[in-house]
Amino acid sequence: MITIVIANQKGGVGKTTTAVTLAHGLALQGKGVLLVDLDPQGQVSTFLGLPQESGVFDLLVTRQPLAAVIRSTAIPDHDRNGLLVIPGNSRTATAQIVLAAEGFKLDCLARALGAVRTDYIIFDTSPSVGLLQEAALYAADWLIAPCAVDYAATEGLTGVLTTLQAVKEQASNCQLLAVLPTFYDELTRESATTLRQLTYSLGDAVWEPIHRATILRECAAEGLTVFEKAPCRATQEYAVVVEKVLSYET
Amino acid sequence: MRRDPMQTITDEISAILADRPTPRPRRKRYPSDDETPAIATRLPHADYERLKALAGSRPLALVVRVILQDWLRKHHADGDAEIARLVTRPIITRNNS
Repeated sequence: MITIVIANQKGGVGKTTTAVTLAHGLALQGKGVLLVDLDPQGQVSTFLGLPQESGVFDLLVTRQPLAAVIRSTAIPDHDRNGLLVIPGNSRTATAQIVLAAEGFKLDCLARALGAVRTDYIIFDTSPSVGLLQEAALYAADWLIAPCAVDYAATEGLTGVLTTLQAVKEQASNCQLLAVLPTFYDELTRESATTLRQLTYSLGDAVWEPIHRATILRECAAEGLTVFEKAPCRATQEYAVVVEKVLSYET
Repeated sequence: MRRDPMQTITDEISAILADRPTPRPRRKRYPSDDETPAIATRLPHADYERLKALAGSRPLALVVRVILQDWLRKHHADGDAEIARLVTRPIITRNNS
């Protein structure tokens, strides 16, 4: 089993889009995937056309069993075989407060999900420094950091990389799999310059960029992934991401 | 002067880059230009050309499947059953040599 955390401390960089699309792409390739929504905005459910629920709170605070908090993602007319979700909502923020009050342990997520037997677990995280983001980095094997190609998002990226290094010093095995440039627009100098800066610092850890695409926003509005909405450039670009992730499987 | 946030954490970046996962040796998984995916026999020529334009040379597998499903739903009388039948087996020719 491989656990992947999707994180960047800047908001609006495509974390949830990447988490949902990658999870569904892996499921379409025959993998069993559990998607865990650690963002109190709870938008993993929204992006999949499902109701928000307090699954993460119930798992970590009220200690409900996994079977009680894992949900199917099935919707009519679409193939989501193998894709499961632990949804979140605003109570996820409360969970962080309770965990802190109880004496937060970095391995709380790893322990809570220890019995999961899917091929992949994917964490979508909130755009902030927080206990759950640290716990997700601790529990994960790989970090994928979506980064909009602008200055502010790059600053958010430095935040998550700094946190990653700090967590690794606590005996975490999490490795940087990729920085995924998002909202790329080759017509703007800002996009090109930021992408060049990222590549200069991080080399081949920077993957091929995902272009800015209206269809990705339409997908969120309709509760569909880009693999369900319509074939387009974004479909192809995220298919590349899925294939690259699969290429790192051992 | 333009700033570069990455320059503020060079020590962390060096440590992180020194411990990255390694991709497994990849077998050739995608048809080359002179190989014809099996899907070509199932799609009208225009749709196959559209597929090729979308997918470029790779990766075909996932894009092919998405386009195939989209096309079947629109054109096949019993699209869902046909999808169920197709997705249980490989839908493109793969050369694993």
